[in-house]
Amino acid sequence: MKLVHRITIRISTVLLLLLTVWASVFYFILMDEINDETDDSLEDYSEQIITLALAGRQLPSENNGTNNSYFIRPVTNEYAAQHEGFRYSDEMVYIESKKETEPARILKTIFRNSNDQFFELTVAIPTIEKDDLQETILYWIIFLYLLLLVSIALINFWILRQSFKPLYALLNWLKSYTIGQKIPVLSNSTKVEEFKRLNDAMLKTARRNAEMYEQQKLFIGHASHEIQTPLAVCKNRLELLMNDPELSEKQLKEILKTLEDLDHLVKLNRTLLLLTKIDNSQFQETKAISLNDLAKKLLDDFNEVFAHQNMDVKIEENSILQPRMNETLSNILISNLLKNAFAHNLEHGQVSIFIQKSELIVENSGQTKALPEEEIFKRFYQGSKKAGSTGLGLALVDSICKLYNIRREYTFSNGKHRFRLVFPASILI
Amino acid sequence: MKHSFLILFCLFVLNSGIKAGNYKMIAFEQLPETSRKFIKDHFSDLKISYTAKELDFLELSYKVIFADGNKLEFSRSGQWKEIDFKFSAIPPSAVPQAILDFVSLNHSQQNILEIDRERWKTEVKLSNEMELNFDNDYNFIGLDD
Amino acid sequence: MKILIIEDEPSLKEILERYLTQERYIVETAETYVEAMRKMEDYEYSCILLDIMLPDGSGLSLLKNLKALNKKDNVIIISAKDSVDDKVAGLELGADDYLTKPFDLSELNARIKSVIRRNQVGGQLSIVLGNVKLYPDKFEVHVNETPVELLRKEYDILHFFMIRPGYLVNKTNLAESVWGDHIDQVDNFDFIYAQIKNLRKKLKEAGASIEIKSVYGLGYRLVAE
Repeated sequence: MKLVHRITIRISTVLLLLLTVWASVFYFILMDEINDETDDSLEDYSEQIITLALAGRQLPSENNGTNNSYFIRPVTNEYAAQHEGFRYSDEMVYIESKKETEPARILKTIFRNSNDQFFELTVAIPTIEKDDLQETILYWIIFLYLLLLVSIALINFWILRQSFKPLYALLNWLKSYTIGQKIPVLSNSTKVEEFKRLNDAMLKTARRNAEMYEQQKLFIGHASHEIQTPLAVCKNRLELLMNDPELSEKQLKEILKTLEDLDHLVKLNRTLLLLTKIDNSQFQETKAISLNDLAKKLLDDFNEVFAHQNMDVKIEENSILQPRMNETLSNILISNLLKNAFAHNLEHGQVSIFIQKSELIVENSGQTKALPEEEIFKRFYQGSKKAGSTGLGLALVDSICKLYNIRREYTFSNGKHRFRLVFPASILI
Repeated sequence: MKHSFLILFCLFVLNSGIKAGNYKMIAFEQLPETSRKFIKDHFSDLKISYTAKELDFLELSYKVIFADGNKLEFSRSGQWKEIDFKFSAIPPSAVPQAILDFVSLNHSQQNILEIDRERWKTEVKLSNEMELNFDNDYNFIGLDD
Repeated sequence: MKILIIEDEPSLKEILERYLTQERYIVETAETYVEAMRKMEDYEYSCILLDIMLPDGSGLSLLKNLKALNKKDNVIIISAKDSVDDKVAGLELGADDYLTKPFDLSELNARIKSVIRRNQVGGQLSIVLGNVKLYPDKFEVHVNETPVELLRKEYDILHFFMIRPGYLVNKTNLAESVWGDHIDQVDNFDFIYAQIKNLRKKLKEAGASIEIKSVYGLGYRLVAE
C-alpha cells in the first residue's frame, strides 16, 4: 500500500466520522432552531393578539394572507386553573382560505382581563412550510456532506501526492542504483527541509557504500594478487623436492597430497582474481561466439572426463545462438555451467543441453532436491562438499551474466535441475 | 467512535436543556425582587393578566402583561428592559427623569408610549409615532429614521 | 648457457636459481635495477629473466637500455601483472617472450629453451628427447625422423611430459594442463589412463626411446632409455 493511499484512507476515515457527527449535530440544531423560531413567532403572535384584545383594540382579520389563524373563547375559572400557562401542540387544522386541512403548530394561552374573566387564545401556524424547509435542509446537508467528504479526500490525495513527489523521485533513484555501478545523478530539487536532508543522506550513503564496495573489491584483488607468487613458489619448491631421489614413497605421497591442497588454493585464488576482473570489466574485447560450437566442444571434453559415470548426454540445437561477448568469459560461462551439471550428477544420470535462438538451457539429473535459487549463485555456496570444488563456479556464471545482462534462472522439476540463460537482444547477432 | 456518540449525546442533552421551558408562565412572586418593586412603585394600580419567563439561548428575561394589554419586560437581574404602553401612556414616574425632561421640553404635546433599553442606546416612542434615541446616560442622540 | 635472473622477491629468485642450476644453466641474479644494469652491461647472457617491477625502477626501461646497448641477449619478461598493455609494451621493446606470475618452472624452462633455440643460427624449434622430436609450432612428433600420427590430446600429453623429462608428474596437473580447468571436480582419472595407454602404444610402435612410466599411486614420469 502506498503511503499516499494510506494517509488518504486514514484521514478520510477520521473525516467521515467527524463530518457525520458534525452534519448530524448541525442538522438537529438547525431543526431545533426552526422549531424554536416557529414557537417564537407563535408566542409573538399570541402576545400581540392578547395585548390587542386586552386593550380592546380591533383584532387582525383572519384573512391576512399568512394562513395563521387564531381563536379566542371565554373559559371558566376552573378550566383556567386546570389549563395553566402556555400549551403547545401539533395538530391538523382546517385552513379556511385554502379549504384544506394541514398540519399546524398550535399555542394555547390562558389570560384574564381586568374583570378577572378568563379567556383562552388558540393560535395556529401551519407547519407545511416548516416541514418542506426541514426536508430541503436535510437533503442539502446530505449532499454537502458527501461533496465535502469527496472533495476533502480528493484534495488531500492530490496534495499528498504532490508533496511526496520528491520522496518518490528519491525511491526511483534508489531503485536505479546498483552497488558497484556508477551512482546515477540525483536530480530531486525540493524546498522541503526533510526531503533535502533525506536526499543528502541517501547520496552520502550511496557514496560511502560505493567507496566501501570499491575498497573491498580492490582488497580482494590485491590480496589474491599478492598471494599468487608465494603460492607458486611453494608449489615449485614441493615439485623440486618431489624429485629428490632420497625421498621415501611415504614422504612422496605426503608431498603430493600437500601439492594437491596447494593446487586447490591456487585455483581458488585464481578464481577470486578472475571474479574481481570480471566485476571490474577487465574483459573488454568481444566477438561473435557460437555457443553451439562452444557447447559441443566442451561437451566432448566433459564426456571424456566423466566417461566413467556412463551418463546420457544429449544436445538439442533448435537454432544458432551467437552472442557477442568476450571469448574467455563465454568459455568460463559455458564450462562452469556444464561442469556443474556433470559434477553434481549421478551414475547413469543425464545431461541435456537445449539451444534456442536466444537461450541456452542446461538440464541435469542429480540429488532429488531443489536448491535455493538465490543462494547457489553466491560465492562459496556448496550444497554438498565436493573435493576439488572451489564453490565459485556458479558465482562466476552469475558475474558474467550480470556483466552482459543475461537473465539466469534456476528451476527444479521432475528430478531435474534446470539452468536457463536468456540472452538480451542487444548482444545477440 | 464511542467518543463521537458521547459528544453527540451531550449536545442533545445540552440543547434540550436550553429548550426546556423556553417560554413559561410564572407567578408574580417568581419575578426578581427588583422587578416586583418597580411594578409596585409605578404600576400598582394596574391589574396583571399573566407573568412569563422567557429563555432565549441563555438569555433570560421576564414579561409582565397587564390586563389592559400593556406590558413590561425585565432582564435576568430584574432591571426593566422595555416598557410598552402603546395602548395608553407610560406613567411619568416610571420614565427616567432625563427623558421625561427632554420630552416635556421638546415634545410637550406628546405622550411616551414605549421605552426600549437596548445595549448601546435607549429608544423612546412617542404618541405621534416619533422615535427618539438616547445614549445610556439618557442624553438625546437623535431621531430614528 | 648463462642466465640472468632479475627478480627482487627473494624466495622466487632463490627457487628460480635452484631450479635453473639443476637444469644445468649457469645462473646469476640481480635484485635491483642498478645491479641488473651493471651486469647487463658487463656480461652477455643467453637469456635474461626480467621482472618488470623492481624496487628502484622499471624492468621495461632496463629492456630499453639493453636494446640501446645493441645487445642481442634473449629476454623473457616475468611479471605479476597480467596486463595486455604491459605484454604488448614488453614485446614491442624487443622482449622475446612474456610469462605471467605465477608460472610453472617446467613451463619457464621450455620457454627459455625455445627462445634460445629460436635465436641460434639454423636452430630448430623442436624439443628433443632421445630419438623423439616434438615441433610445438607444427604440432608434429617425429620418432627417428618419421612422423607419428597423434590425436590432439595425445600430442598435448606428450608435450607436457617432454618439457618435464624425468620429473614426477601428478595426474591433476596433467589433466588440468591438457583438459583445461574444467576437470577440477573430477574424482576419477580413468580418462587420463586411457589416453596415456594409447600414447604409449603409438610411441612403442614407432620405436621411441622414451617411455611414460607409471609411478604407482603418485603419477607418471617420462624417462629416456
